Amino acid sequence: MHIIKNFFKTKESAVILMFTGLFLATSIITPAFLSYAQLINLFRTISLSLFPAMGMVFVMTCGSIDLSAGSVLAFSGMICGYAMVTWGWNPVLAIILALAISAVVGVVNGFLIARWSLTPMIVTLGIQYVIRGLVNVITKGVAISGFSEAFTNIGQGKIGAVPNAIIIAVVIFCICLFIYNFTVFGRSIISTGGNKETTRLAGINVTGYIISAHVVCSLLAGIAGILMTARLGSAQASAGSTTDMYAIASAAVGGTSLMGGSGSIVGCLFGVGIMELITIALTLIKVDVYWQRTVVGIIMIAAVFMDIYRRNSSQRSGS
Amino acid sequence: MAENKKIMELKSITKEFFKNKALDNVSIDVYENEILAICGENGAGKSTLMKIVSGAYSHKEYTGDIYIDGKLENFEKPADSAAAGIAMIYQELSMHLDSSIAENLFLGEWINKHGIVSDKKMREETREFLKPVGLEDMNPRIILRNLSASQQQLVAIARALKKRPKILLLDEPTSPLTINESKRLFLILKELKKNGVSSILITHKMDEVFENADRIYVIRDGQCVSEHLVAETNRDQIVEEMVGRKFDNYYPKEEIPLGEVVFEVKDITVPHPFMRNKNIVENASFSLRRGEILGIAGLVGAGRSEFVGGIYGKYPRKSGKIFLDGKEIRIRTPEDALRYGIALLTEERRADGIISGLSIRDNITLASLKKFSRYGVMNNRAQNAETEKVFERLNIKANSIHVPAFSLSGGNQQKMVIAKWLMRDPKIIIMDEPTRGVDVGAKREIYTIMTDLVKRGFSIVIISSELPEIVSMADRVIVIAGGKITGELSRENLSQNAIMQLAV
Repeated sequence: MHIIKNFFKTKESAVILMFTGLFLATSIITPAFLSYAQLINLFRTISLSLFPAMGMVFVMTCGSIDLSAGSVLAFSGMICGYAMVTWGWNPVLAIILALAISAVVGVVNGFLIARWSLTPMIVTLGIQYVIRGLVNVITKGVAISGFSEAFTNIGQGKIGAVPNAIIIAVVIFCICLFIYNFTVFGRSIISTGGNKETTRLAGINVTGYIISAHVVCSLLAGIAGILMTARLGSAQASAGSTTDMYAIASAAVGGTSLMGGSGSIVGCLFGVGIMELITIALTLIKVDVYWQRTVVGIIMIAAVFMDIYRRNSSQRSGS
Repeated sequence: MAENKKIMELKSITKEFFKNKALDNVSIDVYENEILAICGENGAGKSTLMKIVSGAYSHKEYTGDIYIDGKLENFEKPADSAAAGIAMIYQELSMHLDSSIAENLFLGEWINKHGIVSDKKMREETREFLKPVGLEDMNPRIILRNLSASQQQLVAIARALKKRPKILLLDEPTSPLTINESKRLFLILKELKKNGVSSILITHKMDEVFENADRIYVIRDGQCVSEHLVAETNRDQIVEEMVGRKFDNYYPKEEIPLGEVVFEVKDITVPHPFMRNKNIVENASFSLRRGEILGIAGLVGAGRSEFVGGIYGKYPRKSGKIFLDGKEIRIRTPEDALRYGIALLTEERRADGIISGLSIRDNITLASLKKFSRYGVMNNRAQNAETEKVFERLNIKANSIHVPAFSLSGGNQQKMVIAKWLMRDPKIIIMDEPTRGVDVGAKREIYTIMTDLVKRGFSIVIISSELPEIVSMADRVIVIAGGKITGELSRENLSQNAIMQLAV
């Protein structure tokens, strides 16, 4: 009984319950959903969307936002592909280059926001355009393909019955969970989002932590870009065009505050889960594809509503 | 006054914050054509009362009734109160600094025709509205930020008068004003009184009350203690009722032998945050000895907080030297200050003292994350154990160290902030208004903590607007007025009067 009570007090309870409910409902309506292929498909899409969403949890927690994640995703995948195909680079070097460039974008975002106090939404929107523009300039709108099997294997291969992408996602998820909840870095960004001036006066380098959070976010988007390129076997100029909003929505559904100061990596996982599950479920029960976005939007608002309701009721009971 | 009619009646107003009564069954009458003063110490509940009258709290958030001209009013929002003829002038400026005088005056009530605003007409009328406050020669296009603090305040008053209120509420209206400007303000109020506008004045400047008010209510600890006609009372009586307790046992001051000079600042100059080419603190210096409590007194806005904020690295400094144990140190950021063992408890607890959404533990360990981590990984057990210790020692009242900070009362939040700095083991603690918005019991506990700290060899700098507090607790007091140090008083020469002489 006690465990159940404590579960309802956690900020993830609403989103976990909602995911479970949707999962059960889908299984009952369409038993075909519980097949190996369907479940692996669900988990694979979740793992790809999870990276930018977790990145968003970090930046949103420290009171910022990143609208450039989708562009960085495309840029990273494109750089990686370009280095391998045009310059004939080894995949490992190409991946390192792509991640390094992603990190630089994070530094630029963070620096403009934290050091020069520019509005995060506008800065990252600007960077989104700049990066997307660069992607188009370099690719001229044509996809890059023709990678070695060693590279495509990262996205397409399996270990046993489990796709590599899922294994990588699980590892990165655990690292993010640890960093967010158990390190000085995590505590510092939560405090920064909670009250920047209080945190600064407590001797914490808030500028540095805001920049670092943006670096983490861009790196995670970069990883997603590489994985997506490897999985598709081609680097698309239009990749990740819906990523930013999807990631923000998943993080918010998972209980991360848009005002900063609180968030959850576990919640984010289930937030992504809900978003992907709805899409798959709607396809399975043959809802017209044109209706899907509308339904996703409604579910999103419902999830955030549940979260607010939980938060208000816990404030009233004073705990 | 009995022949005059009652223009406003407050009946049995009670307002609670988290079960602390900020106002307890307060009833107040306001008559036509009078200037009413409400006196009380900081935290007595004056501002809460004003917020209730001005509609900042909805009528659902407190109990009791407000009658205006004999009619029961239920204010939902400030606009309702304004519609009933009440205008409020706030302690802190509530103006748009980057807009022009005209835009500020007409904010929300732009002169328009079918939704199209006429700037020209507003500018013309602005002069008319500025006349009562003596600013009619000002260009209405001037951006407010470029005016002096007192001129800004006069514009705020002009805005309040524009609505032709029946009752004017003024919360410490003269704190940004010079003496001449204050006189002018009171002339305006007296003029308004003749024209049927009553004023309610909240201030702790006794001179203003006795020169200008007709009647006084004294509020203490949320209760209305007494009502007097100014002609029938005197200053001492009011002060005694405001404080309402004997001094000797309320402040647990112990004289301890002072050690060597541990900390010294020389010629600190801090630029004004808004006005260019102006300094808010100029060439201010002090030294501090081991075990000493140094008081910094001065009126609100004299530059006290900016002075210590400049030392700590909260605000940028223009010049100045800082010495610790005789050696010069460089402090550019709060990080530097903390490294040298200097902590600053800020004046605005909510703005930059606490993180309300985080737990008590996370607030208390905030400044000591390095102490509780290894290779960047936090040690939960050590954090809990150390927090429990200081939680017990400072007697913070809460169910556990894991409840969020916003659920605590003001006094307990303040003890939590003190705990945060103690966790960091500083040598020097600067406390800016440590007992603001704190109830009487917690105040005494904070004084006890201070005494305890200096006995252990800490040194404390305390800034306070509450003169009894600073007179009783400090070993020595420096007084700031207009950003400059105007004098120093040793414990023998220390009195409220002596401080006020230097502060104005």
